[in-house]
Amino acid sequence: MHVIPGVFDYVRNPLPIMPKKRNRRRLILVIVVIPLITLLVFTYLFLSAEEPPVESVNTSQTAISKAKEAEAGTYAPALLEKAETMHQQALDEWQKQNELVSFNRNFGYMRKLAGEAAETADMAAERAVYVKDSLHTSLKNKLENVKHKIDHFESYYAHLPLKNTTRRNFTTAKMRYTESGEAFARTAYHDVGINLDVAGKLISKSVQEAHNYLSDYFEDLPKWKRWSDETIKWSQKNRSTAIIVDKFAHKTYVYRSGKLLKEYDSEMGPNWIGTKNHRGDKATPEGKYHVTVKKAGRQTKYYKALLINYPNDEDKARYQKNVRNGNIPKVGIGNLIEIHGDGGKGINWTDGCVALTNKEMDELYDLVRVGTPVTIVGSLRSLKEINGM
Amino acid sequence: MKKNLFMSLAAMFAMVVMFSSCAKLPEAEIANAKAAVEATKATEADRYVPAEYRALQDSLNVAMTEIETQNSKFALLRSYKKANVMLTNVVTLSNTVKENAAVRKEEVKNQAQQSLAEATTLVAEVKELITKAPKGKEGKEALEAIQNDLALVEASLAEVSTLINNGDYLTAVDKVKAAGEKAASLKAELEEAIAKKTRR
Repeated sequence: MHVIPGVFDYVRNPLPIMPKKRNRRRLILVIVVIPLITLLVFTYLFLSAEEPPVESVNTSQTAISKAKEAEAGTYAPALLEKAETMHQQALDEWQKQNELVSFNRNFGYMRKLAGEAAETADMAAERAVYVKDSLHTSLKNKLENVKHKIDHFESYYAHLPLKNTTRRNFTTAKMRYTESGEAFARTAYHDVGINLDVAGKLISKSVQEAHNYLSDYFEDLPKWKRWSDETIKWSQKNRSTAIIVDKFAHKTYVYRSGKLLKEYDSEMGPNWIGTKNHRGDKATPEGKYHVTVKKAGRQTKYYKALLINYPNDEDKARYQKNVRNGNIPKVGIGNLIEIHGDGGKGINWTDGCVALTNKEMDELYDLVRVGTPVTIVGSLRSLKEINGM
Repeated sequence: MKKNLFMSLAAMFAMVVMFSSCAKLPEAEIANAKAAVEATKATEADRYVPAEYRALQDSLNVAMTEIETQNSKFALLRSYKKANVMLTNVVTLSNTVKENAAVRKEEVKNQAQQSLAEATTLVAEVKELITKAPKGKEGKEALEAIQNDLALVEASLAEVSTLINNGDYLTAVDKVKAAGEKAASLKAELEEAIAKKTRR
């Protein structure tokens, strides 16, 4: 039986029979077998090593990108930060595992972290979309609300002789509102919120101040309504012409036989809120008067004019009382209150008179005679009606 | 014997060469790419070209994942070629995003400056019209109100200048539009009042 000599045989027999064959075997051992065994070992280790969850990391990364695209950084920052932290922890864990020998790696924790990061990022994206949509809707409503208040103020209060602070607040509110609208258009909702809050507060304050200012003024509404009713009834009863001036509406109404015949836009004194108290107060009086003189040509510098009997007895009594109480200076009660021409300027510019355009004055002049009742009231509608409440 | 020893050493050397020729982690490229993304953020690219900036961040993240994927492989099988290309692309992309951000920023800056110039011109026109507006009892109160409003517009324009100087162009554009709109309405109001005066 032929036995292949082992390594120990060579030790035992230092002088082998076939040295060339022996060398060849050694060569095969060195060149082929040892690398082969090494290769087999590494192949085993390589194949038995756990694959890293690359797909989970990619999923997590994609989810975070989508969340950022949905502006989660702005609208769901806490959730996005949590997702990013978990994703980073997953990457750190991956690095940590990579430092270990391949067969000793365990990517379980990394997989868990990446999975949770992806879920949290999805939640962040959903939350961001929800918050952004909600914010869009709520800011849109808020913008509309502020716009409504601005329009309301412009329609009912902007022409009133208000305090400077009220007007300044209104102008600032309007500018801030415009800024908010611009920011809203470029979906910079954070900027919208800041400006809109300021605009909302200022416009509410302006409306409130204007409302308070007018509340006292409107206390005489029942009396004005009574005067108006009495004037219309007089016109009906006497089949005659009567004039009612509504200061708040800036309108002059002409009634004939109790029916509305004409309606004119009117201008008054700049301090038309409140009745006339004394000379030079630039206020238009409130009361029941009548035409005393019809002026035309050289009789008036305002084209044509209808002089009324201001001050009447009630005006005189109020003036005396106010002077006695020291409420007003003793400068005289004033006179020469007229309905005259040269109006149509779009502002309240008279010294207390009521101004119409010259064309309207021509019409009115022909409709009235000396003695025609002229009732001037603060308003024919309540403040609630005016405010649309 | 000597020959065998030599061959063994040669085989060992060959294996050493094989191991030593493993791919090296592209540390410099990683640092460059990360620095490029940071530098891009510093140009406010996230504010002016947010979508492009997000894409840049994503590119860096994908490259880093590729690197870690290679790190997970058996040393002899690692290759950072793909990652290197990705990292180079990140640097190239960051330059593009920086340029685009700078262009967009410049556009908004120009828009803000142009609007500011227009609004300033409007304010000057309003001041000129105030001198021509009806005075005396006809317009005294109205003129006072306009002058008060104009003061608010001017204060707002001063804020716009500060915003532009601070580089906050987007907010500046919003504010200057509001101020310009108000100045335009004051101008229209005055022109109407002057026209009415002329017609009379």
